[in-house]
Amino acid sequence: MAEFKPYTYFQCPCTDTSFSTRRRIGDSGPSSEEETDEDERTFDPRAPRANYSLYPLEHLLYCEDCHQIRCPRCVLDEIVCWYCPNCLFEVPSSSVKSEGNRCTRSCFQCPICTAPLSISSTESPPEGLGAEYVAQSGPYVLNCAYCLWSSKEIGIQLEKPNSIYAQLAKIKNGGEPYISPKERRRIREERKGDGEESQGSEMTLDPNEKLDAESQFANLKAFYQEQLAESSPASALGFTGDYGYGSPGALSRIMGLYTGSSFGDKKSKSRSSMMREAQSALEGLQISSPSASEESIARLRASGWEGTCSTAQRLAQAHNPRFVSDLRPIAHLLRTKRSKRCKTCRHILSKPESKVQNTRFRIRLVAPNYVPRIAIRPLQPGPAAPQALLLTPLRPTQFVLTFSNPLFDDVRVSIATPAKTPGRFGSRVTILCPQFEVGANTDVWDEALREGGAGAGKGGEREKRRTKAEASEGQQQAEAGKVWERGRNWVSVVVEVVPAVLKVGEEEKKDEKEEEEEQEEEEGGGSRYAGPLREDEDILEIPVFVRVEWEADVAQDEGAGLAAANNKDNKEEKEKRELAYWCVLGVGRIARD
Amino acid sequence: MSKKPVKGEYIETDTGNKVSRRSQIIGTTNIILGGKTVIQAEVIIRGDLLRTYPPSNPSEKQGNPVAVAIGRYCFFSRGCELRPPGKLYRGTFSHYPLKIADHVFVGPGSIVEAALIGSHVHIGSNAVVGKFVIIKDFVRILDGAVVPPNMVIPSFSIVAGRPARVVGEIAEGEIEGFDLREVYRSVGNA
Amino acid sequence: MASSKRVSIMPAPKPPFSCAPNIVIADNASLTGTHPISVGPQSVIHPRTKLNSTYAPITIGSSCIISERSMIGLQSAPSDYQTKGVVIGNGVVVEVGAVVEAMEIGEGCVIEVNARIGKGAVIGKHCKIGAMCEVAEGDVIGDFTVVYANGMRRVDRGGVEDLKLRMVGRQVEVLRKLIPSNPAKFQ
Repeated sequence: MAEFKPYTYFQCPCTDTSFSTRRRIGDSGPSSEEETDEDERTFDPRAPRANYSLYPLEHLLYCEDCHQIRCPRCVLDEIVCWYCPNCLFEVPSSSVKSEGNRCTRSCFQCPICTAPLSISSTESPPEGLGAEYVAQSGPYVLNCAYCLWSSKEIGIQLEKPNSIYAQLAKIKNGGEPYISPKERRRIREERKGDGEESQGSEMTLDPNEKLDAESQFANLKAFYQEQLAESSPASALGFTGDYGYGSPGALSRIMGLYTGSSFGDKKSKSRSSMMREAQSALEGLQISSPSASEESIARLRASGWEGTCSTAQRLAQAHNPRFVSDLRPIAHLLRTKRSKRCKTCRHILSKPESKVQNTRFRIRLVAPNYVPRIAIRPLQPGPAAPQALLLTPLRPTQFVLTFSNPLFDDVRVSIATPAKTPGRFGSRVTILCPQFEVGANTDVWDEALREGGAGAGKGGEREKRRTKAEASEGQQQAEAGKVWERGRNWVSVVVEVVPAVLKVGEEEKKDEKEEEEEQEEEEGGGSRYAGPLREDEDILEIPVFVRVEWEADVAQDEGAGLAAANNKDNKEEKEKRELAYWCVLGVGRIARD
Repeated sequence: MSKKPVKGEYIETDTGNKVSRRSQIIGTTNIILGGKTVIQAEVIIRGDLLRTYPPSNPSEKQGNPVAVAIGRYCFFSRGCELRPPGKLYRGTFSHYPLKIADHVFVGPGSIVEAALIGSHVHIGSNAVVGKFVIIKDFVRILDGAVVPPNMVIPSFSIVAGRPARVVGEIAEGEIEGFDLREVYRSVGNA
Repeated sequence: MASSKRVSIMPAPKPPFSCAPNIVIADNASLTGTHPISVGPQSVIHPRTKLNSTYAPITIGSSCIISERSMIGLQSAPSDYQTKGVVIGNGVVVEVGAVVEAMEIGEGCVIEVNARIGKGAVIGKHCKIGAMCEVAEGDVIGDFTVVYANGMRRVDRGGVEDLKLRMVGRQVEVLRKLIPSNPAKFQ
């Protein structure tokens, strides 16, 4: 089993609001699952919903205007730029709209294993003296260095080693030229212009051609657009949009619907009868051949299981292929840089530099800079072996929680936890010191200077403290109501847990009953509290409610301009701030019998 | 800092590198260490696999040839290996230098044959980074990942699997966690 | 370097070692065991490669590249059918940290980083065993097979095996210049 690392997850308060709205709705109905009192409510980290609201501190942002923690669910993402994750070139939003969300340069992924493809010549490299000065010549193929797939396997060879996207768009698997929908449109227009003359040109479109879905759609669209344009005279004035809702023709039709039949209705009615249906492949008509399925069955027989593609491979392709030989190289999906806004006040919480390669942020309001970090370690220096770190049921174990304050003000911290952890196996939890003050954070410079003076640096300082703590440990256990250790901007307190017995048998019945009573109100609770031990149910998770209070300089605040303008007269005054949230401490696994 | 008179696990260089006596560094003259880098026991660095293909611009010819260049505050855990990648280019086989920027952590047992690793990169344990991979800044490669050859990993990616692909993004608040100064200080001959 | 000292700890009885005169074998490669080890012409043994012939002989073909930390040879007592030991064909590349206990590895194979090939396995010609992949004991893998990802297999129809063999040849030429060889030490 993997080694267990203690963890702390923070609950974003945004879920609280969703909770209360849900309750409000529930109030009106008969099946109200409300809790008795706001203050009595404890947070159950194992509740199915809890998973969606718990985050490591690093994943959270902090809104300085709302003075609240913000999680990925309560921020708005705004795309700053698109770029290809392979060539790292930025793609302008206009071409994302027109060309789609893929790299249109030369970045492709292997259709078999998703590794990047590289281009190489099929010709054997030149040999002899001065060989390195001879330019490589084609034809070229795309190769996967991971699974050794090559575009040769689908019969595709390329003439140039660059702009592969454009080249691939013109080749079918097997090497035949492919006429893209765009190309088709061009030819169609040409033909319309020259009448029958262009029939002789090399790019003729076969009326009985077998089309792929994309070209068929393009043909159908073009055909019916033409038909619509011809049938509706008003639209001839300007049939611009794809669907023509904005065109005067459409407008007159809609007006006709409302006003009866005054607006040229007669005309369009008589004309619309002239609309005909598609008749050939040029117009997008495809007659399904009865032998198509027989063909694929025959192919399946020939190629066998090896020749079919997996679901994952199939899903990565746009045309839903069945056989490995139908796979095509996948152009890399683009990636985005995004800025984040607070959903409530619309202020920006995080804004990266717009250049793709620049990793700096213009604005970055992250929770670790505002919310005290909580670190957990066992009080007794535990044995090194990870198996021995299992918690023994019913044996009181003490943990040290270290709160470090990132703010430049002293903060007062109050922590509270339910006496018994929620869930099937309630472990008893006691915080020995539920209220304490944590000193202000100082500048990095101060810290560095102090360290320099201390000689051996921070390590030595810490060593000193630890020895002090160890010395005191010998004489006395952690005392109730007293802080365990204290540093410049951090405080450690001790929490004692009595791990529950992980037994689903008879002995626990009494306890369970008691719990079930507590949980009775919760609907469907009964089924949750029976059955064998579930995955990770042996982890002892303690919900802790943390309230942080401090007095901040109003003027010193980030939003100084705004805040100062609002209360010019009390500039000297300090503002009371408060932040309260639930945390979950995962302290360890409980040993099983 | 005072020099330890007795033989400890680490040899500390003038620029603050801490190199384990049990590391297995080959071709030391072709390796550049930026300083404050930790190299643990049984780490192999193949400085001997030099570039043999003539460099394109003659200015590179001057000075010592470099096979592996490492920045500051890097940490190479026990049993990992750094190896310059090699390929056939225009009919000639040659190795190419492996360049590593600052604050790069390589976990135990991982084998790195990348071309370029940016700053603040964390490579987990027993991972394999294939030939000519380019890793940009702020990337986390999870344990046991096999990064396929020639892959480019953009900044703020979390990468895992075989073959590796991007499975997640680094959150804004995780950036400070990549700093290895504290880790560097914790290593010593104590 | 501390490494030169380390080599001297090598067990005293050297295995019977036969090789072509033009091989490259690094000074601190490790050869152990009692059964014969033979290396074909033009092959390269990187530093810190472990050839272990304690349980069965090892035969390495010509133009092979055996990389550092790889372990060639049976690591435990052989099963009945593998008496001729480990046979590696011509032009085989064994990458870093691979463990090869196979009965036979065909010509032009590539055994990538940290791959493991179990006892008695037979690998066909021009196969590629991907990084961290495992081939079970006694498994037989046909020619041109690629083992990748978590044991996925496919047959490579690229048809560039001559090109690849030539590339291995080039690589050997380069390594010959870079790695100081000391075959005398092992004889």
